[in-house]
Amino acid sequence: MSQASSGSADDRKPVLQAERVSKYFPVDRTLFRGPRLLRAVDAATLFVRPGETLGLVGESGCGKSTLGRVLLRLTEPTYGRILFEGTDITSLPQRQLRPLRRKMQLIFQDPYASLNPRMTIGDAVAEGLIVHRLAATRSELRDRVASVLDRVGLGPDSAERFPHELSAGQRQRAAIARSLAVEPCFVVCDEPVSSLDVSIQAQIVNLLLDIQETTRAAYLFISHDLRVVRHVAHRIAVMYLGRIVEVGPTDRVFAQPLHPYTRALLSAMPTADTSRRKLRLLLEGDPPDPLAPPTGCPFHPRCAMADADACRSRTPALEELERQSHHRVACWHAADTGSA
Amino acid sequence: MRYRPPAHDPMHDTEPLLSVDDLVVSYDTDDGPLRALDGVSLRVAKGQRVGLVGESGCGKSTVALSVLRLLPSPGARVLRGAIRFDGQDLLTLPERSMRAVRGRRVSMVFQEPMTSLNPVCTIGAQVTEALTIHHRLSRREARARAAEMLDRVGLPNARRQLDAWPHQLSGGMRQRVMIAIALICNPELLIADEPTTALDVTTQAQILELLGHLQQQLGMAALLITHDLAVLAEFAQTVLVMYAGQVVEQAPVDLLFSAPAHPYSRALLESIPSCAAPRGSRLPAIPGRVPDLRSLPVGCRFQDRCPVVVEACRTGEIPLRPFGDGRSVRCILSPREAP
Ligand SMILES: Nc1ncnc2c1ncn2[C@@H]1O[C@H](COP(=O)(O)OP(=O)(O)OP(=O)(O)O)[C@@H](O)[C@H]1O
Ligand SMILES: Nc1ncnc2c1ncn2[C@@H]1O[C@H](COP(=O)(O)OP(=O)(O)OP(=O)(O)O)[C@@H](O)[C@H]1O
Ligand SMILES: [Mg+2]
Ligand SMILES: [Mg+2]
Repeated sequence: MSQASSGSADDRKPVLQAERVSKYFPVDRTLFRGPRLLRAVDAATLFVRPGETLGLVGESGCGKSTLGRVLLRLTEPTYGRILFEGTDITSLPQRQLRPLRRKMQLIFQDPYASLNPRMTIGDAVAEGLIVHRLAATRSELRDRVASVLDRVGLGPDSAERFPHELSAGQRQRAAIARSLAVEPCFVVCDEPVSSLDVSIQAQIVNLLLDIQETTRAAYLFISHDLRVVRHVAHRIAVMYLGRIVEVGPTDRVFAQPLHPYTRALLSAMPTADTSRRKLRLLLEGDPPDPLAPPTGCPFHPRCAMADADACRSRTPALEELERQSHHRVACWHAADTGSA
Repeated sequence: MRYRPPAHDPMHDTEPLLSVDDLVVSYDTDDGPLRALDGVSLRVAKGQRVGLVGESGCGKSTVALSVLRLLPSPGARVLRGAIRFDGQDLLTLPERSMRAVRGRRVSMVFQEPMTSLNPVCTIGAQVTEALTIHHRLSRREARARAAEMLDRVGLPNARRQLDAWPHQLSGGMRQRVMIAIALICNPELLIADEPTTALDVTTQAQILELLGHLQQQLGMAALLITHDLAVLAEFAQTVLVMYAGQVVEQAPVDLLFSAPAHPYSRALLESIPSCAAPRGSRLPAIPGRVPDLRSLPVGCRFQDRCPVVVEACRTGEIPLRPFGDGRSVRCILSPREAP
């Protein structure tokens, strides 16, 4: 099982590594004024090992999709370094990136974006197999397309259909089939199951787990559903306003969240019992504006623990509180929480 | 508020705002017609919150699109049934009058917000469009109202976002823009197709609270399509569960959660990921797959996946039968039948 195998895997080399990666978007440019910079991702450092899933969670607009796209070089990073299988790909020309493209896939938040409206689902899945020469004969191609569609829970008749002839959930499964058909070793899954109902969600999550078990693929799994993340991720990274504020083994982060923001997120998590429950609004204060981020710790205006000096003036770095725990947090008061 | 004649006839009071009766819709495909809806009926009373759930592809969006007359044409056909809104027959209404209903009296949040926003228009232009069409506000007034609405749906720095382009917003931000567009004209009925799926729990809670607030303030009714059972539990009063183009259970929300009657409803509730499940273990999924709508089995449509199926399930059409407790179920094994 993937869980057991990853426990002994700490020494394995990461498939993907990002060092202080940032993405700034210039916005609000006018004739009279230069652009202002929107820091969608700010100095994010992370790695993912083969066969491992890193969950990425955080509020809407905090930079999760942007980070995922930057890691795959679908968006150019403003600063930082990205290593794929040990090779620095930060400034590799797109042409030289092409052979790596098969190995790095993205399952989009928006399935429409990855499906050509004028191509049938079958052709869309076959395309990757043809480009990367993964099927020797026409009949092998047909069989592989059918089997991939079957694995994501789409019937063989769907191969003949166009994206607009499917329901939203069916379309998302088609997009997943297309990404996974080429057997990638690193996949950014951007909210892959959010648009699916629970039973299909479970099927897709199970499928991703099965594929990981056989191919040792590494996943960056972006989701706002903490229940799903908890289920699939070995480690979890929490983002706030473009920064990673906490990262660690999933069980540890859930059992002992160190950042006040992580604690707020976890307490807002709907419980598993199916009785009526209240979704709680736990974060006080205004949603943060990435164009005018607060000074110091980005979370301080909404944080109950914030103090006048350190929190408001200096940005805390992501640091390991307990050595060898692999649990890192960026908070001036983490030591107080950690020991409490 | 619109003027309504005083009601003497008790029937008048109970006349729902929206009623869909025995609706049958089929899509044309290369291998013949596909019956996406087969005899769907539902009612939404003024100010009521109705939820619609069901597996992907069961026809939820088709219901919504039918009500607004936005089914692809050619490509889709309403073969049977009636849709009435506030006494008007929407299926025969001239397109001109339909346009006055759409957007103003009945509004919709579409699934897949990424594709529903026009990529070449600014957010401001899209949010104010309905206001300038239906209410003849000046550009300035419209922008002020739009900024206020964007703020209410929780978009940071709403005023600046008026000049942003859709690609500059995150998925969840675009979804909130869609919600703002749908709400800006104070509709009497909101049809929301998976409105909160791309949102984190806190934003989701904020949106549901806003919808609840508007609903009370303006008496807005809502038909909420979602696969998220937590959202349903939070928001809906009555729930319809759909399977393969049919309603299989209709129940008050508490009853559905405490004692789901249809085996499919039960399976759906069981597939919620539990915090107790060991990490990496396989989640309980409903085995099998939805039947192909072009070659349906005889009898119950859930038979091949049903854990309690018996021979009689495979013999004839199974009707949606009312129970005494205010719900209807399409299952011959339902233990407690109406007297
Ligand atoms: N334009 C179309 N042409 C042909 N078939 C279609 C078309 N649109 C939808 N369908 C089919 O009709 C059925 C119902 O689709 P619908 O979009 O209503 O499902 P849904 O319940 O909203 O699903 P989801 O939860 O995935 O959004 C599906 O089987 C789908 O494949
Ligand atoms: N092309 C762009 N130009 C300008 N700003 C952008 C662009 N793309 C993203 N942004 C901004 O960057 C920030 C992060 O966006 P991103 O899509 O990464 O968020 P996210 O965490 O994926 O959110 P969600 O959960 O809503 O999908 C947002 O404030 C967004 O408005
Ligand atoms: Mg995103
Ligand atoms: Mg739909």
